Amino acid sequence: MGKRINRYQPRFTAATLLSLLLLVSVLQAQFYFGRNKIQYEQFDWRVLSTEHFNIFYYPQEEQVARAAAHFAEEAFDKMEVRFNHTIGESIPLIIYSNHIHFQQTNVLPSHIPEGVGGFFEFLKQRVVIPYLGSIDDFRHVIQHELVHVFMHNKIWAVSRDLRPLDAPGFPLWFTEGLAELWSDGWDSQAELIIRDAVLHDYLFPLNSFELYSSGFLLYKEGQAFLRFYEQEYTADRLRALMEDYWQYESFEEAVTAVSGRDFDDIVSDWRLALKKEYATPLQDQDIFPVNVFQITEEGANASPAVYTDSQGNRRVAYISTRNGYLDIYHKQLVGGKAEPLIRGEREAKRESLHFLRSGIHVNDQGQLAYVSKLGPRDVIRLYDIAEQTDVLTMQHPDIVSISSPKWSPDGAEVVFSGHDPGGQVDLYRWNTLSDEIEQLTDDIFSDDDPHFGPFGRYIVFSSDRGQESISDARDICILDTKDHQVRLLTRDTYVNTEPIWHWRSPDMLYYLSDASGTANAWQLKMSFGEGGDISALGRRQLTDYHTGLENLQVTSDDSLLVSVFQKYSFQLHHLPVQTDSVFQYVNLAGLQSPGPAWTIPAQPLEYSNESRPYKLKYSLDFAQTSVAYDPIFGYLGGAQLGISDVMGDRYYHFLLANTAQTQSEFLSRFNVAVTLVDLAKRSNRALGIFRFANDYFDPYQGFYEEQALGTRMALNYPIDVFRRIEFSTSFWQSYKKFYGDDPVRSYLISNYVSYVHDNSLWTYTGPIDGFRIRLTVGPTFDFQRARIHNYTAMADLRSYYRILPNLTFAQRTTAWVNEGIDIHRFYIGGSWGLRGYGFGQIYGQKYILLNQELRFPFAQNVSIGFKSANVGLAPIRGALFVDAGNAWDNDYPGFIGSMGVGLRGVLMGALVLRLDMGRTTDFNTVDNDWFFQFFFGWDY
Amino acid sequence: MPRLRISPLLWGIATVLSIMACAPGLHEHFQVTHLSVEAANWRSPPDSVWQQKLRSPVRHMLYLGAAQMLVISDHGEFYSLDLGNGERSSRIWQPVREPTDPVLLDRENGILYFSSLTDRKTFAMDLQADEILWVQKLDELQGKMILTKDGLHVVQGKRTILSLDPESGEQTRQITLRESVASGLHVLGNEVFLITENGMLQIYSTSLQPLFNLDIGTTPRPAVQTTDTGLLVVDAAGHLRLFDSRTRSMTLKMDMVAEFFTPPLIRDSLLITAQAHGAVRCIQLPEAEELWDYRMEGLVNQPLTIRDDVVLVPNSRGFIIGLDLDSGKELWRLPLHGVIDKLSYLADGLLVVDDRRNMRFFRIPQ
Repeated sequence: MGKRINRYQPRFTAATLLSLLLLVSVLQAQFYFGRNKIQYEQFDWRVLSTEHFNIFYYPQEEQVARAAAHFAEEAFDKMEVRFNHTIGESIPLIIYSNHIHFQQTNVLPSHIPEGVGGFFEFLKQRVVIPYLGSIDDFRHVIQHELVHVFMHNKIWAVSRDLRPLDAPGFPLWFTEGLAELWSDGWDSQAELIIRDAVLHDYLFPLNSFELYSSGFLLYKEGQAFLRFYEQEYTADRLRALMEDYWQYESFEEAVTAVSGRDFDDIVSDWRLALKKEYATPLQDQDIFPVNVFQITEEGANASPAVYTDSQGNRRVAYISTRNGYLDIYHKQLVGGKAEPLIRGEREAKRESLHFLRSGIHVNDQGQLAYVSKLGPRDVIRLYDIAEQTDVLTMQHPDIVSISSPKWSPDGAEVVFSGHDPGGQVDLYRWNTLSDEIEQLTDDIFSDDDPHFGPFGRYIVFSSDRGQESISDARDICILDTKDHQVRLLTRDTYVNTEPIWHWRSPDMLYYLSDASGTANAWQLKMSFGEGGDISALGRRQLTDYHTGLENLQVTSDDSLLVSVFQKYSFQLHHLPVQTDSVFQYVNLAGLQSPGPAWTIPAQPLEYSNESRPYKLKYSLDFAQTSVAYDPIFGYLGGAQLGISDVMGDRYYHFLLANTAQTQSEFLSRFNVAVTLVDLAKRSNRALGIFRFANDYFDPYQGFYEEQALGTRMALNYPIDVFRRIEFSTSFWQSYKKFYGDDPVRSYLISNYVSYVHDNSLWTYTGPIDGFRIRLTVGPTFDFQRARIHNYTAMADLRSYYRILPNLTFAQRTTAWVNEGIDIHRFYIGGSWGLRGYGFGQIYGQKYILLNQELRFPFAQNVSIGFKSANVGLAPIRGALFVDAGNAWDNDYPGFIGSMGVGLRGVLMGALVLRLDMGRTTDFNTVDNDWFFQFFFGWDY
Repeated sequence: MPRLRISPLLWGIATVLSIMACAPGLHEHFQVTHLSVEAANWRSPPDSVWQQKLRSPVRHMLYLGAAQMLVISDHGEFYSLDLGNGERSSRIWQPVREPTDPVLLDRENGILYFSSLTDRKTFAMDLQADEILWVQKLDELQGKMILTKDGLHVVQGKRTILSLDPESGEQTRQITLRESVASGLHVLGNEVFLITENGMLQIYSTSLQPLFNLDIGTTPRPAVQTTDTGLLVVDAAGHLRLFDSRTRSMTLKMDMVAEFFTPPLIRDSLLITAQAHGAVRCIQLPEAEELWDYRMEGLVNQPLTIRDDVVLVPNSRGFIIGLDLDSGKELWRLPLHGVIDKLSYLADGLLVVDDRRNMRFFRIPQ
């Protein structure tokens, strides 16, 4: 279930600027710690130009890039008419052949989650899309992002031409909903999610925080509402809304004016229509069939694998999000408690377990095959359940992503679906005894969900190879490993996936199909011919879930294990097979001579087939980068206006300011800095020159003016996604003018090295699990006087322990030391440090700070009602805290501290507002007065 | 310190010049004429005469006569251009903040009526005398103005039709409809036509007395073209309606699988339609028999016109294409610089703004 993000922002208002400031603070927080985006690959970028697009691609994926050119031009024609608008400028379309390459893009500075299937970056109007193996999904995502491009451009044109002073913005549910609707119409996925939301009564109000924090539901609710709106009020009014919105004070007012009906009434009409659509047909049916046993309840749970343990108990292993991270759990099939088996997302070797994208399987020897991301590629790991350790791994240089590993009946081979660097998704067989890899299919068709037949010769899988034209339909296919011939077992217009060949009943094959509207379990009755030919005789539907299934497993002849979508989550169900329905005849004629399948489209013929090498071309950007942090100058990088290339690999940051207070100081008080940041390679580098002239105050030196002229270099080497080493070197001339003393000129060089580790798990208000470390040390030398100017050492360790799923114990230990001639003083009082004390109250050249917090949920929904709008302040979390620490110059004065309670609320879905109240203590007595401190920012 | 002394005479001259510079108007007197269609040879491709980079994007271009073009920019600037060389021929006057809609030029009397949505004012200006006749404070004017013998009519908000006295701007009558007006007001003879957002064609007298209603089933934003005898209406859902005002009936009703953003044309018994995705069709009336169709890439959402038996079709890919009216054969293709923003068909040529601020004049060979 991919979701897409965009950074669409129609205009700059105070709220937008506030959001930008917040973004900066988030990014800086992430730069101090944060996970690493690693450029494992050095892409040899090329550019293919069509009438409206510049397609950026690398040679391995040329076939995909030419298909992208075709789909993009096709989508452009469609969107021109949809929007009654055209775009004159060429649109940059950056294509990656797979998601692991896509995650390395520098177009977005932040880490890209696995669920993101493409995005539109509004400032330079760049569209960035990975090819995930399905040509139909690829076409859909291109159309989805093109809707964003057209909507942004149409609205921007109105803003540009008419320059409205106070036009409203479009809510995210509208932009994403429209992108889904005008690219995809209405499909079984949308049907599944909205049907489930209506049946389980969690359809959120359109502008609610719950919807905005729900992820993909926001896309689908927006899509469902706009589908209703388009049917009732026509696409004309959607276009009119984008043309006339600027005349109104709010989006809701614009909808009301354009529609001739109050916005809230339209929303009520829509909700009522949904209830009528879904409730009426189901009023006489149960939501779930009888005799269904729900195995899991907490988190989302998928990819079940059934096995028998050494005691002969039937157990199930599965991937779960119940703890926030993706872990593999196991439990008894009936009863018992779930226990963690393999922990994911905490260390590099299991960076990701690919929830809903991969799968697990256990052989008779108790070895569990699973896929994890390791550096630039996926790896198959074989885990011995009894020994509780990985026993064998497989990583292939030509296979980037891996999914659906399945054991052979003899437990010696693993068949899987592999995604190569060019974008092809084919079947492979790994012999775990000889460690040999055999490629079983080799074509552009997307071959997924392989499963061995009972005798090991045949492999069934799902593929889009059976369709005459590109569509979302998939068929069940069978591969004979002796002659590598592929035949179809189904051929229809439905999405048929996840075939399971029951090894104890070789004439029965199970699979999922959306033939009934949403994905349900079906059964194929197989026929074995004399020459070994296998074909399908008949099929029948086994389940009738209203919200759809995933991850089918056969537990016995008459029961299945499935992952059911319900209440916007996936839960494992064990259910009996309904064997009373009759098999429907399968038309064999259509399967044995299916005719030609679709071919990958080439780019339009009228454009040049010649591509050209990518050349750096810089344009204005909002640069959000950082390479290293040091205690003197802070971040090299940061967030500011600069210029960057299309790929976002290279930035120039500029700073120009003047601190003159009199006319005569004007020339001498210029602050100028230029920094080049190179993010193209694994080790990120930055080089800057600067000239600063400012007045400062130092408690040891009093007021002084300093002019600094120098250069600075930084290098950041990510060891893996969680750990990195940072180096920075600065060389500068310092000229200090004191009031009353002679000026001092120094030539200084400082070198810092840092080690950073961060595998923390976040909620809205801050981290709740994992740990974070930053260790920094470095000296500054005075060249002129041949002595150490000063040195700094710091340690910042933060760890988070989940006592219960919603109860976290957090602790932070921070210590700084600064010694030398020219020393820095640290201030530790305040809400971010030692609570209960003023910022300037506790200071020194050394400090130690210990913070402990018990974080717990306090309220889920709180809002303050104003006349014009409600301001949400939810969810709210509480904290009990104890702080201890002190700062000093020479003699350690002993600990002082504070204790109390705090509340943290998420204001308007973005800004964390913290309130702490308590009493200070010197650990002998407790102060009688309560302190209250407010702070904007995340928990430490 | 020496003091600069300025004589009272210089102060006086400077003051008078300042007052003159601030005086409203274009500081030119224009003789507004009708747009006569001369016998130019439109079967040949137009020749480029000049091009100018304008100071701001164009919102309206109005031919005044004597090779003078009135330009109103997106930023509320008014100035005239000499079509002979593309040079500005008047001062730049900015009476309103952007945007400037609706605009109506009364060619009979040389009066320009214009409104500003931002300033919420409507102006009447005598272009010949370079004098503002009146200013009225009016909110939320929409669509386009029409001038009838009984007044200046315009839609206010969505459902109100105002009638103003053209000489004073005073409101003389007001009617409020039950449904929103979809595509402005249209005048044909002594009758005012409008279509509501729920697809009702309504006819009023010029004194705004209701005369006739008919459900024509169009979507909320149809494209409307008046003909000699009635109204041609198309919409984004593929509805095509030809209404004859004499018989008060629809003489053609077609529902096609197509989107229309630009109104069709009628020449004699030939109906020319252009679908949004670039299919131009010629239909013989009344049989509704398709005579030819022509397909091009790109979006068609700007008005077509017919000159000298040549159908002129602008498209979004930066072309104006001349098609033979009888056969649909492409006669010529005029490439422009990207997207066409504004287009004005003149007697003997084309005035085009493309690439936002690039104005180009093309003359048809005689």
